[in-house]
Amino acid sequence: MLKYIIKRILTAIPLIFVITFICFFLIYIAPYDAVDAMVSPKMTKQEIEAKKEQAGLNDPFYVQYGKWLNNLCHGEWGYSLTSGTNIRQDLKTRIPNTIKLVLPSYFTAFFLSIILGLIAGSNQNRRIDRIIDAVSSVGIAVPTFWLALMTMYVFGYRFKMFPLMGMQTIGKEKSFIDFMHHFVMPYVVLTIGFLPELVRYVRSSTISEFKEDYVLIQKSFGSSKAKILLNHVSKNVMLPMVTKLGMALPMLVTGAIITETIFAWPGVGTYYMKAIRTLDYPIVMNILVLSGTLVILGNLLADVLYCLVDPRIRITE
Amino acid sequence: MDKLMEVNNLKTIFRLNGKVLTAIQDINFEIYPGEVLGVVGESGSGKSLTMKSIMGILPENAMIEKGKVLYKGVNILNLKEREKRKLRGKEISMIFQDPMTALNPLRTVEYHLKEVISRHQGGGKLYSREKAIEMLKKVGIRNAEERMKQYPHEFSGGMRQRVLIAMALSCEPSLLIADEPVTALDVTTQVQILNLLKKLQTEHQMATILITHDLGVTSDMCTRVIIMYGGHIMEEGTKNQIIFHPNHPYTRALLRSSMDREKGVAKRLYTIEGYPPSLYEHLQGCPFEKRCRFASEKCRNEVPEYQYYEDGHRTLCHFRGEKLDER
Repeated sequence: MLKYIIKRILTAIPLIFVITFICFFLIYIAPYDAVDAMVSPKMTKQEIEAKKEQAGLNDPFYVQYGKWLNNLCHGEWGYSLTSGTNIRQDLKTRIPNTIKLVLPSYFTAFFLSIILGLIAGSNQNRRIDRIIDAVSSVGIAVPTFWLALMTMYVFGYRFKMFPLMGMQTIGKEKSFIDFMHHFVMPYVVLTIGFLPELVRYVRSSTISEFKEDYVLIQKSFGSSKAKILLNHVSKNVMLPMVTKLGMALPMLVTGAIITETIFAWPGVGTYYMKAIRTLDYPIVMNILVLSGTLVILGNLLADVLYCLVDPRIRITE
Repeated sequence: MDKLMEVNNLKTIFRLNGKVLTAIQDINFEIYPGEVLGVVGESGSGKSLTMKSIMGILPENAMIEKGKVLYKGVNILNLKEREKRKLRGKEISMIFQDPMTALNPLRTVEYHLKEVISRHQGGGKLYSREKAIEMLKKVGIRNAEERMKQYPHEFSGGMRQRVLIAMALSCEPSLLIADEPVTALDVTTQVQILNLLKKLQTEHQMATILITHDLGVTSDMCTRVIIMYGGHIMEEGTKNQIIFHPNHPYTRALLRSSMDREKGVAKRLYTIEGYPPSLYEHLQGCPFEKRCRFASEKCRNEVPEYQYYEDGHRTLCHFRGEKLDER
């Protein structure tokens, strides 16, 4: 088991390097001269050239990449071009804000989807299944930004139940109630955003699980449908859900870009969107690397979790 | 002797895309306590479906249109689902063709056994554990205590079938339905499992319905035999009647196409030309007419009635056995 985990980690490391390379390369070939951010219109050609030389922008590609990677590994993530703030410090305050929003939403959606999916899947083609399936189909089709705007309009603007923007009222930074007040709308929108796909996944695996031979055999041994669902099917359905959990890891950083932007939630999403709009490429690069790395780590986590819970893999390694 | 089970005019149909397809055509048979009844037929002849009708575990698009299944005098088709569940696995147990998929891969063997035992016998954790060990030993699994903590994938096909037999017999059923219990196993394992079934059947004195398409197995194990074809019972009789004096053209053809094991002489096997009728065909006459070498005009147009011989021996044919002998 340990051997397997070590092997998986070792294969993940080169992948992460590939990701850093791709991120750097994409920004390098982008039609944009990095020096533009450091100069003012008054500077002469020579001055600009000197700046460029000083910043290492005339170095060959591999030297630049090497320096950048070296800095990245040492925690030097650079500075924002527009505000000049330290990116690492910015992310340090923003990632927890995003986690505060995404984590509860994803877990709510995760558990709701197991319940709804099992109910729908075990009652295939009955009314309750049709309702759940139809609602999740609609849910997949509805774009998050529209839902977010509608929620904002109805509950924030019309009924004035919740504040329209932000995470905290200025001056009430320590108040939990104030936070919750701001939290409700983006939380609900995000949960609804995560839910439909998960429900459909659970539903379809429940349906296919009920078609397995052992279900018929259980029935022939006098088991009721409820018992089969409870003692056998639900366990077999929930097992692959563990992989979903691992794969959701990158969402902790980039899971709510649109929702955060609309509700002006001070998380990574808003930060990222703003960076893209203002061509603040050091930020874009850092977030790309970060989320790419999290995708790989998430997959790793999913594989390891699956090994831990599935007896067939656990023993036949 | 009192009948253990009596199946009367059982007719099972499929609903498929708005069509009604009759899969079991009005069949009658009975089984007596302690006997082994062989049910023989090609794939699609309705053997398994008959058993699933009795057990009440038909697929969703199939239903019993009419008929009665009297078990110890009670029509079990009329029972409520809750009462039927009490019979399944306790009074009537069933084992299936493919042991590889019959167990939940994520539950241990112990869990499977204990679940059945505690459902039908109650008696607490300790009791069901001991009973599970006892049953596993009985079906020839060594180190039962350790092995039952393992998962199904750690057992071979034959071993899994043993586990399923242990589950089926754990509540001492009066009737065991074995639906091609060895078809999916390799030949050496087949013999072991059949011997085990035979031994347990004698020990427990339980009536057994053994579905097979191997006439050799039938002659080894059964007291009586039913031959099915196209949803009909074509011939019914004691083992000796069927093996030595078959009176139906289909049974005769089947016997000709089975291997002569004793002699072990390599000769080309006889095969019955053609295919069994599909459910979509609407037949006016005998279902075997197209493949029967004795077929006549009458066979095509009229559904045959049973011909009766001594000791309950019967055939579904227009012609009596003696007539066929002459031709």
